[in-house]
Parts: sequence; structure tokens; C-alpha cells
Amino acid sequence: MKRRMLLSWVMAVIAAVVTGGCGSESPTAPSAGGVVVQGVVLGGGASSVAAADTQTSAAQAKKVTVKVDGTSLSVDVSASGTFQFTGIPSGTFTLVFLADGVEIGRVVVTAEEGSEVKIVVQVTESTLVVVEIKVESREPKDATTSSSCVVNGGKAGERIELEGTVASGSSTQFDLTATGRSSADVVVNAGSASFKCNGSAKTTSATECKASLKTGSRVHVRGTLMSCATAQVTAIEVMVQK
Amino acid sequence: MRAGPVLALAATLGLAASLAGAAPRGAAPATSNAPGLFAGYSYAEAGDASLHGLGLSGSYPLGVTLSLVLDLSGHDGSFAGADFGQLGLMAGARWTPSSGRFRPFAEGLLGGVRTSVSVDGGDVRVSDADTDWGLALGGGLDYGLNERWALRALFHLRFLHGEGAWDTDPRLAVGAVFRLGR
Repeated sequence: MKRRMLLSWVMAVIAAVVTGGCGSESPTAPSAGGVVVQGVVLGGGASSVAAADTQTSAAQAKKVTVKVDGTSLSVDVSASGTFQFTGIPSGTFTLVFLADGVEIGRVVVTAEEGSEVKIVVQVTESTLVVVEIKVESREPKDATTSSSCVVNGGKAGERIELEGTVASGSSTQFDLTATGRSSADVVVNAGSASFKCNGSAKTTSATECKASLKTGSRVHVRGTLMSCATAQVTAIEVMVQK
Repeated sequence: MRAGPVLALAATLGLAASLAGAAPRGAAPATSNAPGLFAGYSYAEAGDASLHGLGLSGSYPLGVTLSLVLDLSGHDGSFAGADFGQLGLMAGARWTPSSGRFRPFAEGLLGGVRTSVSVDGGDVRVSDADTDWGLALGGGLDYGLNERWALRALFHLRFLHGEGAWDTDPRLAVGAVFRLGR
């Protein structure tokens, strides 16, 4: 009888290990190496954004799916709002977010082999806003590499704020001539950034503000520096000065 | 947890059934089916996030082998730079087929889990709270130390629906049980 009980416990432990392992399994057939993306989608319940003295809220409940553009990688966001990809080929890739099958936003990410991308987005109505994005390298870079990989004081994979003038492009992606940077323009991916206008256009809505962006616009960009070789920033917020 | 929920459920129910069958039938019962209180460490997954916290539950006998169960759990953790907090409240029935020192049980609960997520994005703090409804199926084992106290290990699979998706999240808890009455 004791042997039977012991066997039951062994079987239970094996089952727990097997099923526990499923928790971190990605349905996208992860390959060794590559890039890991961990994400959280906010907005399934009562959401609130608190900045200074402002507070807005949104409530919706749509099934959100995330795809890696140009690949077969796709994953449904869990009821808790989490999703995870493993084994994404390194380099620049685009995460496409869909709500009930309809595309609501894209986020361009550049990450090296072995790095881990952590992204938090918020879904409001049928739009997507990037709240935070970080790129963490699994292997720490040496000082030489880190110091060479700096754009206006910002390091790759970390938060950066830039001031400058729009040289070309659209509100989805534009080249920014950054103040204090003598070399090439910075490519700003702003497809899922929140837009704000100040100055004379302070009362303009986010949509109107986004549409008002043109060559020569003075902007303040807040986002994450994705790479320094080609100076690429994924914007979280674009403040149009004029 | 995205894969293997059927396997996990089968394993859980199989565990409870096999332990029930393995329990020494001839052994004198340590206690009758008495009301009990449980408190202990609890681990749960919320989608891809791993959370840790506390589990509390109370049971009231409805018969020799059947009990009414109220289960409360609180967990927190982080994932992808966001902070998670989760509070679960479920109620249901527990079947305890034997009454020896080893008391395996199987249970099914219905209820809800409220998950709060917040992220600090510099000068902006974004938070989100959502209640998912569903059921928990699982079982466990009580090891009686004496007539009052027992050690418990339990496993639940929580099937929760929210945001257009079903999550199958495992939960594990270990702790102590205090039995009231005789």
C-alpha cells in the first residue's frame, strides 16, 4: 500500500513538473537564442492614466492578439493581459497588435541576439498606446561598446528624451534632427505614441495634433532608444511644440 | 499556462483518486469530517506572470465526505516591468473520501479573481483592474499531525475568462489546517 502511495506521489510530481513547464511555453515554437519579448496589455478592465492632475479612464474587453510582422509568430493575450514570445530573430521587427482581429497598432523593436524586450501597452477604444518599452541585454556590454552606443546621453535599450525638428516623414515614422546631435538624423517610430500639442495648439485633440505634424515641426520625443548605429527611437510620447 | 490543461486536470484528479485508493482503509480515522481553517503560502500563475502570496480557506462539513469550501487567496508579482496584484474568492465543494492520517481530497470551486496591473512610466502611472470569472478544479492531501492540526498541500487549475480569452492557470499552496470541533 505504501509503495502504491509513493508511486502516486511520484506520478503527481512528474505531472506537476510537466504542467508547470507548460506555463512558460510559447505557442510559437521557440528556437534556441533569438529575442524574448514579454508584454502586458492594459485596458481589459477599468484603466486609468494618472499624470500630474489629469486622469482619464477607458473600459473595453476585446480579444487581443499579437503578431510578429512578416513571420508566422502569433500569440493571444491572456485574460490577465500578458503575452510572451521567444526565439524571435534578432534585428528590427514589428509587433502588430490586433483587437478582435482588427489591427490597432504597431510597435517597431530593434533588439540584439539574446536580449529581452519588456513592453507595456494600453488599449483604449481601438487605439494602442505604448506605455513603456525596455530592451535588456542578457550579457552586459563592455564599457567601450556602451560608451560608443550613446545618442544624446541615452543608451540603447533605455529611455531617452530628444528635442528637435522633423526633417521628413509622417506621424507614424519621421526623421528627427535632434538638438545637440551633429551626426545623422534620428529615426523616430511613433506609430503607437501618444501625441500632445502645446503652445498655440494646446486645445487640439490628439488626433488633430498627430495630423498636424509636418516637416519643420518642433517636437519633444520621449521613448526608448532601440539602436544607436542608425539612431532609432520607438516613441512613447511626441509633444508637438508648434 | 497555455498548453496541457487537460493533462494537468487529469493528473490532478488522478492524484486525488489514486491517493484516495491508496489510503489505509483499515486505519482508524484521526478525526471525523470537521470544520477546518487553512492558511499557507500560495503560488499562482496569471497568464505568463508568476505570482506569490497567501492562501486562506475554510470548510464546513455537509456530510461524512462532503464539505462546503470558501477559498480566499492573494498574490503579487511582476512581469514585463508591470506590477501584478491578484485577489481571488471562490466557493464550492470538497470531497474527502477517507479519514485516516492521510486525507486526500478533490474539490471544485466557482468564483472570481480580480487582477490589478500597474506600471510606472516615468511621469505617468498607468493602472488597470479587471475581474475574471471562472472555476477551479483540483485536489490535495492533508497529513494529520494530531486531531487538531494537519499539513496540507493542494493544487488547483483555475479556468478564468476575461478579455475575450480563457486562461488555464495553475495554483499551488502549502500550509497548515486547524480543525474545529471533533
